[in-house]
This record gives sequence, structure tokens and C-alpha cells, in this order.
Amino acid sequence: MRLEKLPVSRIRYAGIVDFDGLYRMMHQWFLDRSYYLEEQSWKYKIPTPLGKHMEIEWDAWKKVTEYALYRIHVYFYLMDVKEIEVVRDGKKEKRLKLKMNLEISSQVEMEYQNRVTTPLQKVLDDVLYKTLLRRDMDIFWTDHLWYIVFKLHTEIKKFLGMETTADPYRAVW
Amino acid sequence: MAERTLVVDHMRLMYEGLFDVEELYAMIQEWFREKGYDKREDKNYETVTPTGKYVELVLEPWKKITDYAKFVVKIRMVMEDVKKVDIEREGLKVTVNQGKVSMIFDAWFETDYENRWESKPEFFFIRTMFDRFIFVPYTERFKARLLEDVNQLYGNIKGFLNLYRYESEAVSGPPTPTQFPKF
Repeated sequence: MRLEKLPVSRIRYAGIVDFDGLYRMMHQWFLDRSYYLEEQSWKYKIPTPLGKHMEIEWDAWKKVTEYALYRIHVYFYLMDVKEIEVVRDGKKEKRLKLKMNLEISSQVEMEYQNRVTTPLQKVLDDVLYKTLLRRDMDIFWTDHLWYIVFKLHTEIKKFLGMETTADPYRAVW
Repeated sequence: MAERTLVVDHMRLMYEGLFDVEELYAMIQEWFREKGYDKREDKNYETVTPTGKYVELVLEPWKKITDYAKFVVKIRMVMEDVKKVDIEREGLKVTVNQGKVSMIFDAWFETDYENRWESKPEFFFIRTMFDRFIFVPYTERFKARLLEDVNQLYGNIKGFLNLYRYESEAVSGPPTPTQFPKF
């Protein structure tokens, strides 16, 4: 299996968040795009006087072709989490006051089925990877996945109500 | 590892006054998109402080010029004490932000970013010889283009911020500072 790892993008936010809503929005985002989503870990640490600490890891993947697969890894690190009640439109709602560090990393996996076993197959796979599919990989797969991740990035920023939500690259892919 | 040549080193822009965070960010991203740069946002940090919002951004878009060379521009933006104020523009009330913006621009020219010419000592030697003696006219031209790009972006951002300074007058919210912006 060969990996093309893409750079990590990070969002750090401190404030009041509808974390349930964010969680559901991101979950639905992956399902709408036909990704298989697995929650790899959910860590809940003993609360301190400052609040709770939580770590959540998601792994989402999608087959592009028989040779290439997209994998997106999301890591939530929540610190000083406290439950609070806010009044919105006359209704009381539960929210979390927290500091959140969200990292989204992604990679394109090639020959993910590990079907190459014999030396001849390895030579042919090398030719495929280094020459015939090089252009597809550089121009199509990595670029496509990169901008898919940024669409998710923008949706998260919009949900959190951050200032920097403009996305002139939304029409790219 | 790719060879990096620093073309722009810590070029600063500081501004204090009225501006629109969303529009400023959109303007910068749109400029990069039009120039053919790929988007990269390394860090985006936002928090609310007692004196206003604090926003920290690190953008690092890149543009592949050839399969051997690419441009990388890094912008670190820190916006402090950002508050929403109402202003009057052409007789209409609009809501913009007021605060301090600091930007640091760096740009570098990267060669052999795919690390093809490092696997063997002979390749590394050939690459160094070519970079030092044969590709010099091309690399100097590329560096000049990169510098021109960064200067154009800097000028656009300055113009954008100046537009807010001279076009708008706050009608509510905190008073605008009296000192001139530092450029």
C-alpha cells in the first residue's frame, strides 16, 4: 500500500459551542458524501476543577477506484469542558463552554487492497504508481481530497460562527 | 528535503481601526485563487476575550510553477480586540469590525519539492550544479515573480484597509483611535 499524506489543517476555538449539533453536522457531512465513518476512540478524562477533558478520533474512508482510497482522520481535543445553559429565542438550551482543538488530516491510499504479492506484480505496480498514474494522483486524487477536506473545514467554521468562513475555492471540485 | 530560498522575510503590516474581518479574509483568499495558488490554512484560532474577539490565522498557500519549483507564501494574521460597530456608509448603516490587525508575510521559493534529486549523492551533486550555474536565469526570474506577487498582495490589503479608514465613520460603538495606522 502506498500513501500520499496531505498536510494537516487545524481549527482552535474557545467559547460556547453546541457540540451535539457540531458532532451531528459533521457526521451527516460524511454520510452525505458516502464515506464510511468509524469512531476510533472516545476518551473521557476525570474532570478537574477547570472542567472535563475529552478526546475523540474519527476515521472516514471512501473507495475512489479499485486502486485508490480517500481517508480522512478527524481528531477532537476538548479541554475545560463545562455544561452551561443559554437562553436562545426565549428557550433554554444546553451548550458546552470549552476550548477545542480540531485537527483534520487526510491521505490518499493507493493499492489499498494489498493485492500485489509477487515480484512481477511489484514491478508492474511500480510502473503504474511512478509513471502511468502519477498524473492522476498529483492532479486528480490528492487535489480532490485536499479541497474536500477544506469544504468540511469551512462547514465547521460556519457552524462555530467564526469570522473567517469565506470560501472562494468552493467551486474548485 | 526540498531546497528553500527565502524571498520575503517578515514583511509586516499593522493596522488599527475599522475593517471587516470576513471581507478581508475573503479578499485575501480570492486573490490567491485568482493567481492560481492552492489553498492551505494551517491554523485558525478564535476566542472571545473581555476586550473583544481574538483571531489568529496562519495561511500558507502554494503554487507549483513547474514539476521542480514552487512558490510558497505564508501569512500570519493576528486580529485583536475585534468588536462589531455600526457605521454609516453612503447614508446606510452597516455593521463592520473594529480592532487591531497585524500581519507578517513570508515567501519562499522551493525547488525539488518532490525530493527526486536527493536519493543519491550523484543526483544531489547534479542538482546543486544545475541550481548554481545553469538554472540561475530561470530561478531569478521566478523569484522576481514571487516578490511581485507578494508586493501586489501587500498593496491590495493596504488599499483595502485604507478604504475602510477613509470611507466610513463610526456612528456607534467604541471611538476610533486617533493615531495613524502603522504600515
